[in-house]
Amino acid sequence: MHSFLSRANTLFAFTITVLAVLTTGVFISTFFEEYRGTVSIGAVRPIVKHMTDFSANRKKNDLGVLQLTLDMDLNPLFDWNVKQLFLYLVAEYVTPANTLNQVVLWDKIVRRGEEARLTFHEIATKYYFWDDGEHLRSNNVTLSLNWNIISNAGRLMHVRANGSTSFVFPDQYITSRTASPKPTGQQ
Amino acid sequence: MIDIEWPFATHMDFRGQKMAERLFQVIIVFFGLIGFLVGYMMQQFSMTIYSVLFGVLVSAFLTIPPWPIYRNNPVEWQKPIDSKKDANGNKNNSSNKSTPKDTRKAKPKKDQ
Repeated sequence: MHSFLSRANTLFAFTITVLAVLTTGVFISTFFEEYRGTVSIGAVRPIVKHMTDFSANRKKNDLGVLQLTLDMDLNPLFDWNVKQLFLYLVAEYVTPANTLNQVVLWDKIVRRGEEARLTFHEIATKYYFWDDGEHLRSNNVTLSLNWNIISNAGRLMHVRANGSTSFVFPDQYITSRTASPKPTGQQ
Repeated sequence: MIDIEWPFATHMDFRGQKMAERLFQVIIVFFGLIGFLVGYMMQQFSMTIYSVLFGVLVSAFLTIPPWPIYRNNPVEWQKPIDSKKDANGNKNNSSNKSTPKDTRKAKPKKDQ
């Protein structure tokens, strides 16, 4: 404390300590928060195609195509410890080949301060719904929305929202002569 | 960069340093607590950070420049001994950094 530099140094170090204590306080104040919510999901016009997945091996697999209708209000999730949410829509189903299949069909990053009341009407899925095999026909698929909480100081939590829906794929393939909307792929 | 000759006095005496350190600690903790409560009310952590940074600015203004209030208790140096006594006495005295309450007298000179 005997010169400019030593005073500035002491002040800076103390400030950093105070900020660390405050950040710990923020972490503790939101430790028990569960971040649950309800959304509404709709699967529109699901169909199944049988095609070659050119990005994988050359055999033909089932490709599911559907449109999504989503409605959610995420404002209650943003407390002072939440920086952004990573939303992802997962399709889960059972096949004879695998006990559990999970395919992510759509995701979105919602930052703090951005519009948190989201509505999507019959949008295409963001990612292809390839099955590992040929078992999508007549398969009962459950769509559920999850979010990953990115906090300022704390755990990274994955939370499944209430309000998942199920649908059943038709039992016949669509041949290429039938017109049907295709997924947009990665944006 | 460290040893610059400023045209004004830049030291603080020990009482002043203690006062300055206590002052900025109190200011920053105070603004930190206020910021924590405001941030919790508004659910905005940025408010907490802004409050602490404001406290740092206020403290920096009050404690980094060497204001004259931090020089109210100067260190009392002992008077130098007459040079007619032997050189031992002078050397001993000038290296004594005594506190204001110190009443140590000069060491007795050695017998010639």
